[in-house]
Amino acid sequence: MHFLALGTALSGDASLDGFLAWTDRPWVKASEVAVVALLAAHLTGGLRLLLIEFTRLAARIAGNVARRRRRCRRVLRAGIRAQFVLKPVSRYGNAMRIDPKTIENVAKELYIRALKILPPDVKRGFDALAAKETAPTAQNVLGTMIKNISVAEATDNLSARTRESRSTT
Amino acid sequence: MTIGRGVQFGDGDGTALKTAIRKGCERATREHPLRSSIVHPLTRKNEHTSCGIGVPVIHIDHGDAAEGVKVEMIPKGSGSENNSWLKMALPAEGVDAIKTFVVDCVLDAGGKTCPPTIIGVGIGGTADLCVHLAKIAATRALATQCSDPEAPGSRPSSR
Repeated sequence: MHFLALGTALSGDASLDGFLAWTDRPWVKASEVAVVALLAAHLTGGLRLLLIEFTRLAARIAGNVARRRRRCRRVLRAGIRAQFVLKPVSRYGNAMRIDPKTIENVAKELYIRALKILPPDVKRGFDALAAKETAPTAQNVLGTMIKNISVAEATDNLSARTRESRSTT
Repeated sequence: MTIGRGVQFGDGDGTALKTAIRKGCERATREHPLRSSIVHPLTRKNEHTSCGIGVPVIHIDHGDAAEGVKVEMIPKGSGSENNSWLKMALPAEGVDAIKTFVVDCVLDAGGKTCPPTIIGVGIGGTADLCVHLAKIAATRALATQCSDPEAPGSRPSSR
C-alpha cells in the first residue's frame, strides 16, 4: 500500500492528491483503525502463545483452556486455540508424562523376571533353612529345592518363587 | 502400581494404563512363552494370555513422591490361590483365634503349594481388604516385621 501511494506521485501531483483525499474519507479511516486493531489482537495472541509455550504460566493458562474446553468445545475447535486442544494439559503444570507403551514393556519384563529371579531375601531364607534343618528327609527335599534354584538360574529358566518388583521414574 | 504426584499417562486417559498392563501380561505369556493358567470360571476356556475377567488384578494407589511410578508384579500360581483362606472371627475370640486359624491353614495346606512356601497374613478390615493385606504381607521382605506397634513382636522401624 505504501509503494502504491508513492507510485501515484509518478503520474503527477493531482494523482497523489486524489489518493490522499480518498484516504481522508471516514470509512477509509475507520477501516484503517479496524485493521490496526486486528493486527494488535493478532500480536497479543502471538505473545500469549509464546508465553504458553515457554513459561510455567503456560500450564495455568492451558488448564483454564481445558476447563473452558469442557464448557464450550465448539469454540475451541476453531482458530488459534486449537493448539491447546491438541496439547495435553495437567493441573500440576509440567506433569511427567509416561507413554503407556513403557508401562506395557515394564509389565512384560517384570512378569518374566518375577518367574526367573529369586529375591535376595528368599535366597537368604533358604540358606537359613539349610543351616537349621536336622531331619534327613527334610534336608534331602530342601537340598533338591536349592539345587533346582541353581539349575534354573544357570539355565535362565523359570523357578517356582514368584515375586519381583521394579520401580520406574 | 503406586503413582506419584504430577504423573500423566499418554493423553491422561487412565484406561490406557490398565490396557498397557494387561497387554504386557499378554505379551509376556505369548512371546516368552509362559504357561497361562487363567481360564473362564464357567466355560474353562483358556485364552493363553494369562488374562481373564478382572485378571490381571490391578491395584492402583497414589503416593506422595513427585514424578515417579512404582510397579510391582506379583504373579501368583494357582497353588497359592488354592490355599488361600478367609475367616471372619468374632471380636471376643481375640488374638488367639487369629493364631489358631493361621496354624490350622498351614497344616491344611501341607505340601500342596509349590515351594518355597511363604505365608502372608492379613488382619482386619473388610473381607476383600483382609485378603489384599495378606497378599501384601507375602511380598514383604523375609525377616522383616509388621510396622504396626500393636502387632505382637513388631519393630516399628523394621520396614
